[in-house]
Amino acid sequence: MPVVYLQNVSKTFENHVVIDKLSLDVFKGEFLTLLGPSGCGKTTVLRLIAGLETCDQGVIRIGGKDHTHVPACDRDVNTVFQSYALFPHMTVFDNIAFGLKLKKITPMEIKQRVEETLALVKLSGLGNRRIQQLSGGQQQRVAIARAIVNQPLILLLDEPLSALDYKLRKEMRLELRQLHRKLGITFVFVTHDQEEALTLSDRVVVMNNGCIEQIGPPKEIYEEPVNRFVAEFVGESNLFDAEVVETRGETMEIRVQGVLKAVKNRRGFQAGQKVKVLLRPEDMTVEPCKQDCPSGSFPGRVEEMIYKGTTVELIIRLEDGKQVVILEFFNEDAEDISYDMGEGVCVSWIDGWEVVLPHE
Amino acid sequence: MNENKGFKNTAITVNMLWIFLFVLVPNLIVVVISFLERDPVGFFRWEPTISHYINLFDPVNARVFTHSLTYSFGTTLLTLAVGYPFAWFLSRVGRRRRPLMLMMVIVPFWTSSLIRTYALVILMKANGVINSLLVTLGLAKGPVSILYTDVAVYVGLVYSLLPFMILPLYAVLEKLDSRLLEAACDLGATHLQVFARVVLPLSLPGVMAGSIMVFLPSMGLFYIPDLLGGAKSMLVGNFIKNQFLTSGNWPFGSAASVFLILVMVSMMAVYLLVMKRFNRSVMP
Repeated sequence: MPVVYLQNVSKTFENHVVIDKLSLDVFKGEFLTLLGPSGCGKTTVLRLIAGLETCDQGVIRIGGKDHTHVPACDRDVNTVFQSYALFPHMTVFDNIAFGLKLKKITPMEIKQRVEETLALVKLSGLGNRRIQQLSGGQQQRVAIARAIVNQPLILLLDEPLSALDYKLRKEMRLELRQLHRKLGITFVFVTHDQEEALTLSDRVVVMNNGCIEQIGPPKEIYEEPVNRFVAEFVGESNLFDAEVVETRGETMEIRVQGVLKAVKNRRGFQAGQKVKVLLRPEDMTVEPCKQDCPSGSFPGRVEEMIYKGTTVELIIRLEDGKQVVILEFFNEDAEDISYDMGEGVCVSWIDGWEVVLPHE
Repeated sequence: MNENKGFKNTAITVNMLWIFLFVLVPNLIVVVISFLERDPVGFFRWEPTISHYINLFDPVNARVFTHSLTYSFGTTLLTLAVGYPFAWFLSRVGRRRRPLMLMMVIVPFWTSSLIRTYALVILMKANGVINSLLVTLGLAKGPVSILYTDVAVYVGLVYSLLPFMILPLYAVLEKLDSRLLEAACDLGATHLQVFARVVLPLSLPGVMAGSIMVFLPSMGLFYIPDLLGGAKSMLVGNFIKNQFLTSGNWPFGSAASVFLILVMVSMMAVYLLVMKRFNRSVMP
């Protein structure tokens, strides 16, 4: 049974529909990420689960019980806010103990639990500090500690890493994963950063315009996006217009850029149907063009070569003017990748790594 | 450049002279006179004494002070009770309606406080607006005595001083981050607990500032108890006024005002001390 269950939930702010008949199950112990561009309603979903907003329609169940009209203070859910929202008039200890004190727990136990949690977020010994004396990263840890010390059924995290610098963010990502494993609490995490979503989550929910576009494990989201929005939002992609020429059971022949290619047919496309072919930059291949390109590859010219340390990004202009991005890795086969500007190349992809989407 | 400097120096000199002549000197005269003997003809004699200060602690006179303090304390509590919810509402109301509501707080300042007090007399007197209304509506058989009671004095003091409570409170509450309130709710606090543990502690500077700004003037507003309380409610302000204008006892009146100033200064000192500690704990 899901620990959080949203059914046909809708929310409107001043005639603007923010959440539109959204249904979502969150399972016990999982790390679920809501991913989407700003304004897609992901934070509103979080606030609905927290009880900081009430939905106009639909049902919200938490831990099997109807929580649609239960106020935030009576929900077994705690939030790590984007801006941390730490109480400036309290010490680190008092901030963390806030929830426990409200539950009428003995001072002895409060002290013990706060100390344990401080150790868990690596802030031992800083209990007497003022919030203003802490760095951004430390405040972040206090915000997490203040929520998890209550041992909630669900921990909600609203873009908690967005205020930190790149290095600290990567560090905190790892720590969040470890924390999740140690505590066994269900995490619902909101972010607009696809890398964060892919590295942290058990499941990713891709949202757009108040609706869910796709739910699945990171690998599935990245490798098998269900539509163009998911494909383009999660990672870089090259999209080609194509047409199905002939279907043969599990496979089919498509015409793309004037070239015939055999691809898998997973969605029962029919001959004559217009489709889109999605290819990740790292799934495409490029070869110097001697004379003519071998069948099944497209001729093009190198327009830009960007060195990225472990990879090289090539921007290639195809003959019909379409621009493609290809990522080449340095390895034993290609210790040195070097192209001249304007050099002719043949572009193709590794068979079977394409994703064919319906034309939208 | 030189001209500019000349203007600056002149402006400062004139200002300093003004303050020296019309603020410092009169106050010093008051302090000096408070230590001189009374004289029926010339108001005071050049004979030093501290008898007036001792006289202040005479039970009859001390009662004026304790009475005053009670009034001021009561007024402060009442303005706090009325002003806090209003300031809270003001700080949470939509941005469009806020200027209008702030205007409602400030507009009374445009009329003299004395005239507004006379208006209160017209409202509250035996055949005044309130009593006519009560009788017409059949809520009272005859006129209820409101004017010349403690109630009338409190109404007048609270009415006159309420903006001084609302504005500092509003200034603090308006800056209060609503995300802190959400965080408290999220951690399991009921509305009452959010108020007691987050809103109130963080608005304490406003409570302190507002209380000082109500408490201190309420000690000196002599015309409100005079007009609304009749002869019965003698407060420090009236007391001092009477010593000078009615009894012609300048030295004793001076001693009373020096004592009042001392009370106020010590309260300000306490306020500053508390605020310094508070700021150290809340500000970065």
